[in-house]
Amino acid sequence: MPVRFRDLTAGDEAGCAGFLKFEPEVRGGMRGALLVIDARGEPRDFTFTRVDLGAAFLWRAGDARRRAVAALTKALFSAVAEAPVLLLALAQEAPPQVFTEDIESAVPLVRVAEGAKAVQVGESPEALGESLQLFWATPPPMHDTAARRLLDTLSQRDLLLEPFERAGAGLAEAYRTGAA
Amino acid sequence: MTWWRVLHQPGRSRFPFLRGRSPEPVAPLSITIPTLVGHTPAKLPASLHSSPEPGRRVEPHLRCDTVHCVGVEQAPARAGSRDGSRAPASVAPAAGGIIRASAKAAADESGPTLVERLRSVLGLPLHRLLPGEAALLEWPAPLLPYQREGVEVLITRPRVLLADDMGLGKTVQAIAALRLLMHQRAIESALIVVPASLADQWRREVDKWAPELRAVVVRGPDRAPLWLYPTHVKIVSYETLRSDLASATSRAHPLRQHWDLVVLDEAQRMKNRDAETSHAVKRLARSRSWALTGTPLENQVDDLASILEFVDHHDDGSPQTYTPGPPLLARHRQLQLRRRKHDVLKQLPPKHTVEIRLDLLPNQRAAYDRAEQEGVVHLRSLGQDVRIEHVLALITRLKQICNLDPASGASAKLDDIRERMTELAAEGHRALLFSQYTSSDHGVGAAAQALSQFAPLTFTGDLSSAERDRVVQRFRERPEHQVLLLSLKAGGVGLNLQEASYVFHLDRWWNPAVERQAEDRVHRLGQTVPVTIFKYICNGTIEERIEHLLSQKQRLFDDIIDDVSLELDASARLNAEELFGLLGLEPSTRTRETRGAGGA
Repeated sequence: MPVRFRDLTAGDEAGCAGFLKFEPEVRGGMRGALLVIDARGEPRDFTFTRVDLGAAFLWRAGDARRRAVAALTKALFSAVAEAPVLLLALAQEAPPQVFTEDIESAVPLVRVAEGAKAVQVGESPEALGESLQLFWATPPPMHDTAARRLLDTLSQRDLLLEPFERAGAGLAEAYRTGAA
Repeated sequence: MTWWRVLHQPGRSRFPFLRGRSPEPVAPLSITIPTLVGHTPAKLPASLHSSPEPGRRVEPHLRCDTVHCVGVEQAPARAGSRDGSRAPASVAPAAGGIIRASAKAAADESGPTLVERLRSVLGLPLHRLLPGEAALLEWPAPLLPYQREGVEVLITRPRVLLADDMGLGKTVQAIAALRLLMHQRAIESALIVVPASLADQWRREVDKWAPELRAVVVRGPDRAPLWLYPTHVKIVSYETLRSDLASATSRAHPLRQHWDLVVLDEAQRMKNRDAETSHAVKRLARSRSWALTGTPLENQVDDLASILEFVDHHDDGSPQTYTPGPPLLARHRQLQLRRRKHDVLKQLPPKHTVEIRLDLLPNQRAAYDRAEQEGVVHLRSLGQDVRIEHVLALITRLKQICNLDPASGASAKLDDIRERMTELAAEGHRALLFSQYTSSDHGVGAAAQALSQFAPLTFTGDLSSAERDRVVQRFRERPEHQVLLLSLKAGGVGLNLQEASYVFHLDRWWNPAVERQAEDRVHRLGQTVPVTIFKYICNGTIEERIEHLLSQKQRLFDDIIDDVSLELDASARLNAEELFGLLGLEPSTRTRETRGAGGA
């Protein structure tokens, strides 16, 4: 009798998206997480860490945040088990210079803003629907590329912002004990 | 990694105001989220990727792999030990290497590990999985509000007696909840115990409502390897489970291992706590127990107690004991979820019950009277040796003559049914006929002959599982079969036969719950026209007396199940006095002492 089976790989073709989440800590440090999900929103990988800013009071405020986000991003990129085909960060959390001057990603990376929350001078966003703006830190993916298809799929499924909430919840759970 | 690079090295002159050390993050912890059985995501080259067809939503798939943690050097999650939980052993400090280990192996008895906690919070939220506008899972049909509520109860509670009225979709709720629990990685193994006749239907429903889950029906003479198949769901009949559990002496046998979820369908089969099947099912080690039945009480409060002993389990399968009384009542309130049709299905067409009282035909009457007189004389002649079995035999004989007198072929009931069916068929209606007997003298066989003009199909316990499926399929698809004749035992549960809208009870069973179950093959979700039930009672016969007892039992069910405030010492057990009383007799002293469970 043949063994009944189902091909479970059918859903993998769209690739995975990584959501970068950064949160300041009460005592001056910063936490970061990279949640990798598939096109259906299923979590695939979660990488997280934190950083102490030490003598950050000597820094310009913007520089401190940028340095922390850059350091976290490098650490997260180094450790993530599965390379995504698209990276997303929240515009209000991730300074644009991190992805233009500090780190270069071959994977299309976009900062997402809801409404006009994080419009930066000199940035020209791509509107997505009525309420989302996309600030590309890399050249926007061309049509019919895996990244663009994945972006469209996530958008259709209303999954461009919600995973950031999960990533935040994951960070809260990981540091629930006050490890920071 | 080749997909990113550092453009700017920290600590150099790009930050002229920096004093002190550059920020160095704690080495990160990476957790690969577990997926379902036996499949690791393939790393396909990008060129092989393709987008879904337009308009086609890709079904999320599940895999159940071991949880892998990738730890690099110092893991921040170690700090988790401060709150009593701890990071998995796999993320212990490691010199820049990658460590993989099973999360189960790392589980801490004191509570969930960090991996398990993260798995829980990172999963898709329930409202994105349940059917609805923003649902990320595909569902074959929407769930009604009460069904969503039921699914949420099943997901959030490990012990549930789902006692919805028949026809409200208990199966669908259970499968939907099971599917969501699998998606949320809350469970990895499920055992569904069902009447043998429903096993295929359950598998079809799992295929339909949880297409990404693998289910197997464990049955047949060579079934032993099936227990080892790596499937999400195993479906087994009560009888097979009892048999296999008895022969599974090794602790390594899959049946003896821990189940994340055990579901009992038609859980009233557990009503007799002394039955081997009850013992077997209650011994299963499990984390979650769901019992599904529209009739958790058929005869007496003990029925309910036995079912609750399964539901309110100890995780290791050690016995739980309930007896009728206030504690049972209190626990019952906490464990039972019951919705009634008229409360939640306002759109369900009404069900009308028509009680038809008939006089026996002359030949039938004569046969009946003769059988009754001879039978009573025989019982009296037995004196102190008379036993319940003698009484039951006579009652059966009398009930059968009420259906049809085989000597003369006279049957007031079948004449009436034929007449009614002629009218109904002319209007395009279809019907089910239930009898507890299958023979051609008194039951389904007799009805098949009497109603041959309506091209009847028969569904009895004599048919194999495949044959039963074919009969049901044929009735659904071919309207020229205007009536389906079913034995109450084989066809009274689990079937969906909304194609018919009329039900005939050729004879009466010993409790009304069983009759209701049979009627609900027709009066259920999906029915679009009013349903009419015909019940027959022959005047001046034992059927009148049985009807009286059935009414009493119905009141007990209504009081205990629908309104649990009743005193729990009430009992409508069909005891010796009642059985003998049906024939105007009194039980002997010996019978009083030895009375066990009767035919009721």
